Amino acid sequence: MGVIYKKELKGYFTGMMGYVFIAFALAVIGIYTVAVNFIQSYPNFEYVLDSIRFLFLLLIPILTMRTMSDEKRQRTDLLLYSSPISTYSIILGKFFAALTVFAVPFAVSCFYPLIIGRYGVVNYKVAYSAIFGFLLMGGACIAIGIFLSSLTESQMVSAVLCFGALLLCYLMPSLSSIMPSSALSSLGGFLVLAVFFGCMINITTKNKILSIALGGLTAAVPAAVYLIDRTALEGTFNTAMNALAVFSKFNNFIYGMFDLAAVIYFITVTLLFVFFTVQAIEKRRWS
Amino acid sequence: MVEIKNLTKKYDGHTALNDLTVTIEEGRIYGFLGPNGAGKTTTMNIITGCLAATSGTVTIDGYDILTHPREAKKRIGYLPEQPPLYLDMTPREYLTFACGLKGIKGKDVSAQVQKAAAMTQIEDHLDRLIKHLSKGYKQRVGIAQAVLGDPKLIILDEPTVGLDPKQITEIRELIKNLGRNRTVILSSHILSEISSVCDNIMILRKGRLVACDTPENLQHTMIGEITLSVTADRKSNNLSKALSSVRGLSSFECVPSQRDEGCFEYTFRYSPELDLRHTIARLFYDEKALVLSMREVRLSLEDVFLKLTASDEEPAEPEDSREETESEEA
Repeated sequence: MGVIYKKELKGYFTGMMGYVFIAFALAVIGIYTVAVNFIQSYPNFEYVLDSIRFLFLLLIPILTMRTMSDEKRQRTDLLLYSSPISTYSIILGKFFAALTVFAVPFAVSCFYPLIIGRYGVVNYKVAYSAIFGFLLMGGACIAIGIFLSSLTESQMVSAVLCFGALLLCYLMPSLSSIMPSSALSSLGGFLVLAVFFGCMINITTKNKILSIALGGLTAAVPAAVYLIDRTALEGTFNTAMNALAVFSKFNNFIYGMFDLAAVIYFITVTLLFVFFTVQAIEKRRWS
Repeated sequence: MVEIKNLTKKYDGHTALNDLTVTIEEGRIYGFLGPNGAGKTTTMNIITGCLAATSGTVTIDGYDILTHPREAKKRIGYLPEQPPLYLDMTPREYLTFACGLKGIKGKDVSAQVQKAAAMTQIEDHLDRLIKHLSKGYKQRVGIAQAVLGDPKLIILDEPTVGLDPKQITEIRELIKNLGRNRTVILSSHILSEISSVCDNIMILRKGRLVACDTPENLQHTMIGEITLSVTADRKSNNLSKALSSVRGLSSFECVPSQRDEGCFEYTFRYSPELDLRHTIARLFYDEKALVLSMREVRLSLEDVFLKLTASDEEPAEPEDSREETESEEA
């Protein structure tokens, strides 16, 4: 893992990528710090983090778009796969390298609450736990980005996919509030999801029976629940949608709470997508 | 060294490899030969663990590539068809990184890099960016990567493709040197390359192994009979009698030459173990006939290859590519 980590980290800084990322993130953090903490005179650095969540949509795709897709395009993936290292160490090496670059501007921003503290009363615990939560959220988004990058050979496609996925996560709270919460609409939502799920399985495994079976099963469970107890299904699809709203999980950190549930959520998403990435790569070996 | 047993690989209904079984012995150079799409790259990717087989096993030095990938892969140096190079690295950085992947640590790293660079003659280019190197040098960097850490088994997929003739001979020399104390497997669709470098040839056709032998044996077993045609200026009963009684001759005929007026074309057929050219020439000499030309036609390796890889419906006609040995005697 160490070898891949070092190589990837070096890779970010041999090109422009790492510098552009850090400079851009620092510029945005700086502008918002000046605006929120110095002009509007709030002593809360977490408000800055609250306002710059949109940064993820732009910066995470830049950070992760070439991680796996470029290896595939240059055919260097064969070097990695024929080496005596595991797929997990390849992916984790790449993940931690991206996370390190991501952490640099936020490590710098750790000084900002101290600076703000010279001019007013800052709750440092809240500020630093928000930075910590922000890093974990970054980790989850990076894992999603790396997974999407492992699905394609083109950096551009990978960046667009990552942007799309993160945008969907970003808009999820408002989308779920638009969705009516009646039992019927929940059922409809789950059925659409089941069809989508079945299609995805068909695309990846090219096994019609398996995809119909799994898609059918996904559809059958909410349908059965609907038939047995209609009220139990009310609002469940909105809850399911909210589970995908990665960004709103950060809210409690802004309100001054160290949200352990969110921490576990971010770590779970990260591990899950690292796992998916490894599976996507292993799957290609078998097909 | 490598045991391949009943290896089968299927892609979406298409069978790329069909029940391949080969044993590769230590210290020899093996060549995979076959037309495009015969399954050479697939086989190599499976041996190196980059691809998983649908069924069958590959063991390297007793370690199964699927169940003990780490141990098995430690013994392999692999150069895929397209060298897996990071273009924005220098060869030194790249080889150092590859050392890390192969688990070479500490002081050994620079020693191994130097050794591999010396072996592939890229020492002068170690600190230029790989993207600025010529194709031949890129290929050498790829080979240097494969020989890092002295693996027992080196696998090279089409190592000379796209190189100029000088580079090809250099790379061939390099492969021969590598084969002195290691097992080397290389693939090519160019027969002359395989026959000049390899101790053993494995011919693949549509995912099946159709032959595996030394170049000489392949030629011998496939050759059938040798045809010797002689043009001479005389024909006499004595001569015909003497010629037809040569030991080992399986057929003999004589027709008037169409090209040279007053001359005759003699055709002899005999088994490939024999060389009757001296005996026959001597007989002509004794009968005071002047031999104008003598031509021995053997089935070349190219013909063997074509014969083996031609599909069953259309047997190959290896007319144009006969290997000819001409000699003139007076």
